Amino acid sequence: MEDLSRRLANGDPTAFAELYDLCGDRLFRYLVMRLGSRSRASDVLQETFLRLVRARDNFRKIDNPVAYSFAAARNEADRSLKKGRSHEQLPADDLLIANDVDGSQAIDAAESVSSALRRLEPDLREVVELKHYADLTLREIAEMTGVPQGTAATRYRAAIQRLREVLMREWI
Amino acid sequence: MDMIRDDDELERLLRSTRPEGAPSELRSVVLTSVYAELASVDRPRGSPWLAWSVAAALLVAAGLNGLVGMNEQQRMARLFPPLPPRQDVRDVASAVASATDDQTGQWFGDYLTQRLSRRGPRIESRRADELSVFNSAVQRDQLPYLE
Repeated sequence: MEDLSRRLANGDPTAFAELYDLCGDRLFRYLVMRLGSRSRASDVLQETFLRLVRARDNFRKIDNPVAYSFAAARNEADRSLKKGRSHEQLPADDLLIANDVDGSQAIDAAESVSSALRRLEPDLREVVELKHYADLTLREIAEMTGVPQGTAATRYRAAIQRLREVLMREWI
Repeated sequence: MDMIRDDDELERLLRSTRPEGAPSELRSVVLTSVYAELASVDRPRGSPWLAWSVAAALLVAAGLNGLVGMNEQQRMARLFPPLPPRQDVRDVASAVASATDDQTGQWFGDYLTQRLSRRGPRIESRRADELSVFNSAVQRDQLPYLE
């Protein structure tokens, strides 16, 4: 990671390709959840990488380029949301795809999780999305969101509990 | 769908429901723009210290230049103190004072001194040149307009 950071800071093109392979797909999934649109997520991902290139000197100061890239993507997503450009917005039940469940059960599961997530407070929702869809560790989530690791863990536990409550209420 | 009995089950459900990944062509789109950006900003960048040093040197040079200029002015003022008013100027000033009042006479005297000190040497040197040309012409007896 340290070597990757150094190469990114030096503007090595292969390092940026490596960074994309390391987290491009995860960043995209995180952005889709945050922005609710695949086309917008594509634009923002591209803009995020351009920003990382322009401010590549910052990679000298950071240990984890992946967490740093997520933080940059988060800022870029917020900027895009503020600009409010129109993009096709995916309905909540189209955001998620169930992989290990078959047929109508898969659609049910995706719809339920998606709508339950939408009912969480933004901080709690984000920590779940970062953990499960962006595959970040709690340490990376803390680093990226700028909170202590304990706070990230507490938020995650609270989010899971709230999600469970919401889903149970829905199925009763 | 089955009931969720505990947090592990919920986490399993979360893991099995994910947003679709990035389209495969997005990688090349992103990396193409990254390479273009790297190429556009890949010019040699001078050290910021160098830029600051040049700016500081220019500032010091400008300051020293101003200081030297001020010293030079003071030195010239010491070497060439203002000349006392000429007799003819004093006469004209006193004539003006008698016709008006002392204050106006004084002001006019100062004004004349100032004007003459600015233009005087030039006029006098021109007069001296003309005079020397005239004298040499007289000596050579070459004054056609007097014939």
